[in-house]
Amino acid sequence: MEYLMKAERMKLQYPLILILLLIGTLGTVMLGINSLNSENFAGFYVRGWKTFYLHMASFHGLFLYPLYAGVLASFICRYEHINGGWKQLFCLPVPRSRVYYAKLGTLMLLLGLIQLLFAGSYLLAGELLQLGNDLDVAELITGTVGGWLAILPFAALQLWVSMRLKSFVSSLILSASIVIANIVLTGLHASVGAWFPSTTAYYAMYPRGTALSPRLDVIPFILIVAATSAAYIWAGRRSLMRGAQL
Amino acid sequence: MPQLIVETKGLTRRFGEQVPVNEVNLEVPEGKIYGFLGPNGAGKTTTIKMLLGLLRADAGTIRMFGQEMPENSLDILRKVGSLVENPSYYGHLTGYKNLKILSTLLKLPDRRIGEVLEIVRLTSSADRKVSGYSLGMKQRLGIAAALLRGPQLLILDEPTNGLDPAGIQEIRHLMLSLAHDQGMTILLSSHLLSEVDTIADEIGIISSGRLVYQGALELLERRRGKVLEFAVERPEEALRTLLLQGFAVERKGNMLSVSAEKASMPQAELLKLLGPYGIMNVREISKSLEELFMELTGTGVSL
Repeated sequence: MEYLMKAERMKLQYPLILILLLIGTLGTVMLGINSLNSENFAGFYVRGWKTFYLHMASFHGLFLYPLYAGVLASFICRYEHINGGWKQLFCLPVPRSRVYYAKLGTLMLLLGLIQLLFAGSYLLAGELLQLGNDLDVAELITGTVGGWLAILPFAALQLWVSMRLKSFVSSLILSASIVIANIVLTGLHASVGAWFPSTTAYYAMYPRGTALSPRLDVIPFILIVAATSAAYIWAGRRSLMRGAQL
Repeated sequence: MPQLIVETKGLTRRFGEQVPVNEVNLEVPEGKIYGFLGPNGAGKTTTIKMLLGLLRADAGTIRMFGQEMPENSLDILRKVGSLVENPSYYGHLTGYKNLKILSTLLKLPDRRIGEVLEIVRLTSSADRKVSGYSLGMKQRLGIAAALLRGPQLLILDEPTNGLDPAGIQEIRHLMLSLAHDQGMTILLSSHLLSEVDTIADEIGIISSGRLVYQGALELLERRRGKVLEFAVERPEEALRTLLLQGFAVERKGNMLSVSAEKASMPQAELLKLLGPYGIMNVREISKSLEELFMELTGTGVSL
């Protein structure tokens, strides 16, 4: 499994991915700062670390993070689709299920890296803005790690779709349109909304107990995430086992 | 009798109403170069894909190295290097990196990469991105990838596609040395007989999904019949005499074409028979292998 993951990492188009991640991180920070200084929110929220986190996390969890999952899943499959990569992989003495898990693992690693960038850029920007002393490290860690775990079903779904769709653009459009639906879906109670896997990162990252916090029961939420993850992993793995890519 | 490396029985693949591969019994002996011939669309690639587990067979069995495929695919694929249809590659990476990925997956030492690059003469282009390679270079990279694991069986589907004459010659030499010096078994598909008849030991000819000939190339050569053409003064009577003797004869004016499918041609006997009718000229025409190939793969002609 290790060598499979290593081979996956060798295939990544690092310059492109790096640029994407940096633009995204910068965008989140800028939007966070913008909201922090915005007249609309200034009345409700005290300027500080917590408010800054709330702004950054809502944009990140609602749009950018799920979008990343879709884009990166497409990337991971694109170079296999264009010049017969799947065929070559399938002719190797490597179980196809492992090929699937290596892809999913790589995708989750990249998504983990994004969370680190998110947390790092939050801390750095907050420090530069001199936001005071209400930094809640526990909330940051829970949100970052929780968001990462909660993106799993969506990552698995996007990987499945990307493995099936040879066209890079159509899988991108699909993930973008799913993410737009998040505006409505995340307004629902989590026990309903979380069945749509694009929403779960937002539910997990948004701080609890604020006026705008999503309504969420933790245990059912975790169960839904686990169930949808299992379903999409099963479907993606099955697609690869059957060689639908050829 | 050498051991069979590839043995299929009744291998069949259906696609709706069509049967691209129909009850094929392939037998590839160890250490030989097997030329798998057939016109485009005859079922060569589909057969090869089933051997490699890229397609499921609808009926029939495949045994490779004495093991069932695809049940033992991991064991089998470890010993098989292949290049099917177009070469697979990652265009955004260099030739070296492409092979490095494979050697990582196969847990092979880096030294192997240099060796196979040398074999296909890509060493000088190893650090260039593959997207900038010519078709021939990509093909050679594909062959390098197939050779990387030091396979016992090499399956190459139309390996000379896109290569120039010099490249084709090179690949031929490479295959001869792999088979004869290293004892590798090579299954080589082509739609051109001329491409394999100089190197193949065994050939299989597939037409419309059916294997119409399989065996040593010499046997096929012996099979190409000869035709003797006689120009005689009295063709009518000569024709009658020959037909009575059971020869297959065609008449065009005063020319009589006698075809003899059998190897032992009773030439002397014919001359004696036709002597009385005034032989003016005798000509021996032998069918080319290419003609025989066309005949075997043409519609309505079967063995």
